[in-house]
Amino acid sequence: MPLRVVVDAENGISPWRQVHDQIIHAITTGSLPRDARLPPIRQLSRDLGLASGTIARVYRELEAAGWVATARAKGTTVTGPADRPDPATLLHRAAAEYARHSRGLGATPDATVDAVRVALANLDAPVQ
Amino acid sequence: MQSTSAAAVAFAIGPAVAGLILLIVLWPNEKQGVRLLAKWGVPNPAADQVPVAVRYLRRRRFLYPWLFVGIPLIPRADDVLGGRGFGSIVFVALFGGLIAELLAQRSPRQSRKEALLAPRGVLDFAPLWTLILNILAIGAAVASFAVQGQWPAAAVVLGAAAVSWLVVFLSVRRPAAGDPDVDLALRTRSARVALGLSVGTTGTLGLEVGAPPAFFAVLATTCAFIAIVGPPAKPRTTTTAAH
Repeated sequence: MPLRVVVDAENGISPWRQVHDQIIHAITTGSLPRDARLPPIRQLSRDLGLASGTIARVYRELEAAGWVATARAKGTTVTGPADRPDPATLLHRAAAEYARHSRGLGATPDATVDAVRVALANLDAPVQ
Repeated sequence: MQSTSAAAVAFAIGPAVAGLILLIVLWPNEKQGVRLLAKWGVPNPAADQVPVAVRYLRRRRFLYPWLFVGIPLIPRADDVLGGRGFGSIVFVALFGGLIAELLAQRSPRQSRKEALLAPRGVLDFAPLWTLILNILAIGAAVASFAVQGQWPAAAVVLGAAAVSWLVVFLSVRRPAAGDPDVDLALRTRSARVALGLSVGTTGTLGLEVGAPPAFFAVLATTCAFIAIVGPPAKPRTTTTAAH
């Protein structure tokens, strides 16, 4: 199944952040293997209805963090960081991202933690 | 001058009525959407895949009658395109495809948008042999017309080729329509039909100008047309770009 990236303009997270996080998630989970080519900036920006500068920023940030590399002939390819983060690091990174988003929404620390508990409970709940 | 315009309008009224009747008769429904998807690689389309294909067909067929009426109103169009024969139908389909692909370049309006995380190119939708066959057919036709001094016909063939390549380019460029399987099917159809139609113009013009050996030219271009517009042999479930 081809890997897709989804941008929802109404979910409160900036579009560049959504694209950025989904690409990192795809790389860390192995859905985007090493040397996989990413679409050109123009293609992705047209498909998602975003400015090409937005996607350029995503690629720039990913490149700065060592997730991808851009070469003239090959375009942008997945490199992955030299030492791929372990699950604990990924968990902390996701938690930090969630905490940032929660604070952006004005939620209290208790409400933030409660939301995680509810989400975990929903994961464990039997499917109706 | 006025009488020429009046004649052109009068000449267009009959086909306009015929075009509208055709539009009503051929207006695509779900059944045709299912057939299109099945033909182009989605053998058992789901209920949410069919409307995308129907919209794709409607966008094209809506344009055909207007083009059929409008093209003859262009000065000397009938002389160049060869009257109201099969050739004009080929041109209508080609220009209809071009306008439909231009309209499809607009970004979808919904707030949730999806894109494949893989580069796509012309060869994902039109295999190399279809491009080579197209170039060979166009090149042979232009050379043949040039040798006979049929420069307008040569120009029309080149123009049709340019339009078809533009359609291929636009079909690769446009935002995705539907899920990846439907998107692949529709892009493939657009690209291959456009390439086939430009080859078809060489045959129809060969007949119109009576170029010897017209019979073999028409036979060869008909074979090339059928080969190019034929859908892929095996149904596919994934896109080439994903490999």
